[in-house]
Amino acid sequence: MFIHNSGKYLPEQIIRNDQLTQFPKGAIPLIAQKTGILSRRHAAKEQCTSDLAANAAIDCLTKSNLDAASIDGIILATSSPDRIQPATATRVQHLIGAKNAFAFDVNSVCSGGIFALAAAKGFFQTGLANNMIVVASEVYSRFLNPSDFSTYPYFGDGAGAVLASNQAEGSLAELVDTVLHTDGSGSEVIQIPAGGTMKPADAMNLQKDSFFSMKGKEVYQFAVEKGSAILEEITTKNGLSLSSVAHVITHQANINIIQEISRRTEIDQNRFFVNLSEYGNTAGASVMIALDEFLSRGIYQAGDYLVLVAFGGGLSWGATLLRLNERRTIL
Amino acid sequence: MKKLFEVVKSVFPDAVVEKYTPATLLEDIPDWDSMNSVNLQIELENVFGVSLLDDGLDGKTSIQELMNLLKEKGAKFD
Repeated sequence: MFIHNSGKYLPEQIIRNDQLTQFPKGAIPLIAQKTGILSRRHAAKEQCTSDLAANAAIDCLTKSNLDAASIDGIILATSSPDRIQPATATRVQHLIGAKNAFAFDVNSVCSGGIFALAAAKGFFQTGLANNMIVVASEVYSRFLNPSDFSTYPYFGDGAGAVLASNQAEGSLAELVDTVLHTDGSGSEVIQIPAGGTMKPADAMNLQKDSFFSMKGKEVYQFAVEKGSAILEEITTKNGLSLSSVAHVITHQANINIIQEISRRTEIDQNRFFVNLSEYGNTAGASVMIALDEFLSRGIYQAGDYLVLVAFGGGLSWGATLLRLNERRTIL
Repeated sequence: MKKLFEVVKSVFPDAVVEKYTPATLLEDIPDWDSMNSVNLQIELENVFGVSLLDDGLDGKTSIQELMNLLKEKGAKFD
């Protein structure tokens, strides 16, 4: 599988830390200190997850000068869907005019982008598609408790996309390998408790059950442990050393997590692409948005290895090994 | 003390407050961290009607110290 282009969409509304006036003024500096986040984007009232995803997909298609009708499949990674059903990807298919594409969602929370890329590779291998859009889109602002200091400042809305193909010619990168893991014993560590069959809306007795929640300490330990281990796993599996990894894009959750993964793997922090200060944690979309910015900046050499690493609810974690091709401007 | 424990429980649902004493350390509360301590501060202000201003709960290490802070700010305990 080859990546031919990338795209992103970030809503226009920028929310800086000092605009989070519902929290004590003295606590505001803690946000930057504990997360590295300075601002985040929030979707406009009339925008939902599929709108952001469609904009990212259109950005990607425009850069590629490709008609949406040439797309055979759309995989959307999201853990903040438009509705329980149908799949949010179906509205994306309609919005972008990809009338020949099948479309479905993948929910692996913050690892969603990595899991969706792996799923796309399977469609190419089975011959079911030649061109696919893999897009990750999240609108967490709709599921956050505005009064919860332990979650609200962390997250932002956004979408990132790639155009993937089974053709190597003209591609930006080759997907060399993927590693995926899940540990369902931790399914309650990160969750939105209500709205599904376990706690349907009419059985919900606490408003907070409809909000996103996470156990911060457990998430931190999980992220640094599994994020570091999977970097080693995917490089070893492919006969590479950690020192041969030129670039790393991890899930943009928290700068302290990224710094700790850097320390544990002894991969210099300069090799980690980071954009979380601007967008916050955009959950499943974060790696895809960062990938688009990384590729657009062209800060790499042909033959460089780039590893994408994500970790999140499920618990789930995954990594993708990419070999980068010759740099070119992608608008 | 009961009211304080109720507030702690509301912010930290996994806290077994029945076993807590004034000597219980805040860092031993499940999910206690600097971000969640702000949630506790906000809830204490709401329930006890006091202002903890911008000092937050910085440097407070135990339930007893929390009690002392609230009393200092004029909170009433049953």
